[in-house]
Amino acid sequence: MEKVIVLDLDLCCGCESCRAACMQSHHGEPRIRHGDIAGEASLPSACRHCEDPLCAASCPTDALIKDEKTGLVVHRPFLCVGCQSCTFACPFGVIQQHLLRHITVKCDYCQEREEGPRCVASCSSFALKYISVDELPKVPVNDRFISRSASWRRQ
Amino acid sequence: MSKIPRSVCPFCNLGCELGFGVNGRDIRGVDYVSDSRNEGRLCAKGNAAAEIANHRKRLYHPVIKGKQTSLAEAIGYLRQRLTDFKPEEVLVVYDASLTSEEIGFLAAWAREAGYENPAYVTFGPESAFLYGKLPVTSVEKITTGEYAFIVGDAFGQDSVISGYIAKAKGDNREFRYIVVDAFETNTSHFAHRFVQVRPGYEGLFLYGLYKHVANQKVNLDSIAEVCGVEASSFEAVAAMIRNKDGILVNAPARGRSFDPFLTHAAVLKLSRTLERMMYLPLGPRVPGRVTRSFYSYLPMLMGGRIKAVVSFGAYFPWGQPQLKPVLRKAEFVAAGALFIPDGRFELELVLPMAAEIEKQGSILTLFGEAKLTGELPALSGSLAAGEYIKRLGGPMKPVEFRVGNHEALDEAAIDERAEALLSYKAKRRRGRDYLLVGTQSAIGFLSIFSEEDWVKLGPQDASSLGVKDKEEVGVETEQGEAGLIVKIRRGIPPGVAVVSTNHQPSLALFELSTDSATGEGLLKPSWSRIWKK
Repeated sequence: MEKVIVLDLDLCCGCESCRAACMQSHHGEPRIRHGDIAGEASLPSACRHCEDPLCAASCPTDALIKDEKTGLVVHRPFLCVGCQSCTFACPFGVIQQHLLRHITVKCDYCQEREEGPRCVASCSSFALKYISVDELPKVPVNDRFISRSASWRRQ
Repeated sequence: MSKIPRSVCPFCNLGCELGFGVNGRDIRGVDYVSDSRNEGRLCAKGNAAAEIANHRKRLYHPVIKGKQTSLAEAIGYLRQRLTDFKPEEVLVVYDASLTSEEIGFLAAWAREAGYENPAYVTFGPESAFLYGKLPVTSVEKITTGEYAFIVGDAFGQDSVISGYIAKAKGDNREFRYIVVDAFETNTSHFAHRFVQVRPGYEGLFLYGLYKHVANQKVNLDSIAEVCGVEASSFEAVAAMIRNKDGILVNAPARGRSFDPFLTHAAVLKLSRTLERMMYLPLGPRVPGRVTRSFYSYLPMLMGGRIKAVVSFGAYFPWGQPQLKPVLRKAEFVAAGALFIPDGRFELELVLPMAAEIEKQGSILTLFGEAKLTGELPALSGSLAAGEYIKRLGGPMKPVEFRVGNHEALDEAAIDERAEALLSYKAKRRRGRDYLLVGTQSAIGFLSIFSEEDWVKLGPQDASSLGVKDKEEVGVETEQGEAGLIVKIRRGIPPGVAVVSTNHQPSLALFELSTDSATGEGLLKPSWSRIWKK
């Protein structure tokens, strides 16, 4: 995978701009959602495009596959039968069922958008970043990306 | 990247630039303008801007007494109907949806016809921002300060500006961050120091702080007691902001404060005392050029001296459910609307209005005048307010206004307000044990995320009421009753219930009062009874 979305916990202000932006590009069905973590923090989470995706392993129709070229976990809606196996298999709870079409939907990193994912473009506090995998080790994971969020510290 | 139509986000006083993805005349959604001052970043409201343009409930034809009609017929009807009244019996109204130019034309038309002054509609607390000259600021200055002092839930309301503050905090480890609010929010979770005041008393705390910083004599102990804070917290906060560069962000919400005018006036004074402090009043946009408040005409409306009300705004009276009994007194009410009226107000004439993003002209923002480009076509069948005024035969030369605001409240007026708030007792009947406090959040704006109306309670109150998360409760105030879904949140103190003032049913629970000194409309926190349904 070339690029990934990461979240700086120190900067995320919980404004849900990313969710609103995602709704705009996905016909009213956001793929990125805010999860309430023990009533302490509300953080956006989208598909991690796992290296060994459990959702793809659980899919009976191969509607979810790992695209070796891009590294993305791709959802092929024409094959999806809406069994929701992937919804239960996903350890991060980021695959939902579409309200109208009864198939599941997931984050596609806005592949059709040249400038990258819309949620990142809209993030009002610069917390969501779309960075290349090579840059990941340079990101101060233990400093900015996990431990310094005030609401976590209080707990 | 090909050129996309641009405009300015109309939903708050920041004036973020936004672009639109279009397919012919069809608006597909907002797009992000990376070379704008907001660098393309938008809050949940900005992201919903395109939703307004092609919302399924947009009104695209005028309505006379509930029947669909044509634009020409509606304008003829309005012209005809206005001749039934003496000019002094007609009140012309506008709101922040009009551009500065349109307000000029409206005032010229009203003056020529001899109507009462055009009156603006905006609820307190945002109307408090009209008092005193506000400094025009720049985004760069926000990120270079040493502290941010936030009153209210700025992150929930206007996350773009808050994003810059969060970034400043991330970039500069010395950056300090103070929040004053009645309950915990996303904003307060980030704070280095959170001053939790008793709901409604933010203004009094800021007054005490101003007096303390300005070394003026005041009884800090009694102020601290009423605010529900330690007397030492004034000095603690003062030490964090004295002799430093920084900003104070005032993000008031409807139904949050007993006296938002005091909050605003105290902050203006404070920023004048501390020369290195910048003031950012965050909130919904206010009309750029102002005349007189609509609410100061309420006695004339109730007394029958005003018989006809004509609004060229897009949000009046739809956003003010409290005005229903008042408007019933008038013989003729005509108003502009963006959306199909939902039956709450049965108005004689409803005119379809163009949204701000479809207009051309200038609007007042925190960073000076911003230009609406008019690059998006107006929804077919709707007209901009200026167009209506032209078609009604208004003069071609607008009235010259003083661009700016009313006089700031003076020292004596501030002292008087603080004194009044010290001894203030909100109207309370037996059994009404919960103070209902309003909150305004960008999330859920236009109800795009949820149609559900909610009330937030602390866990202690929820268990004493015997309700669980997502169960329904009844909430009753002097003004009315509503069924709301409970959200249990740990940061809400006992005896306090928080509701959204973006949603109509919970907004209608607050009583409308008129501020005696300024004549502005005001929604204060009010006592309520809550029971399990």
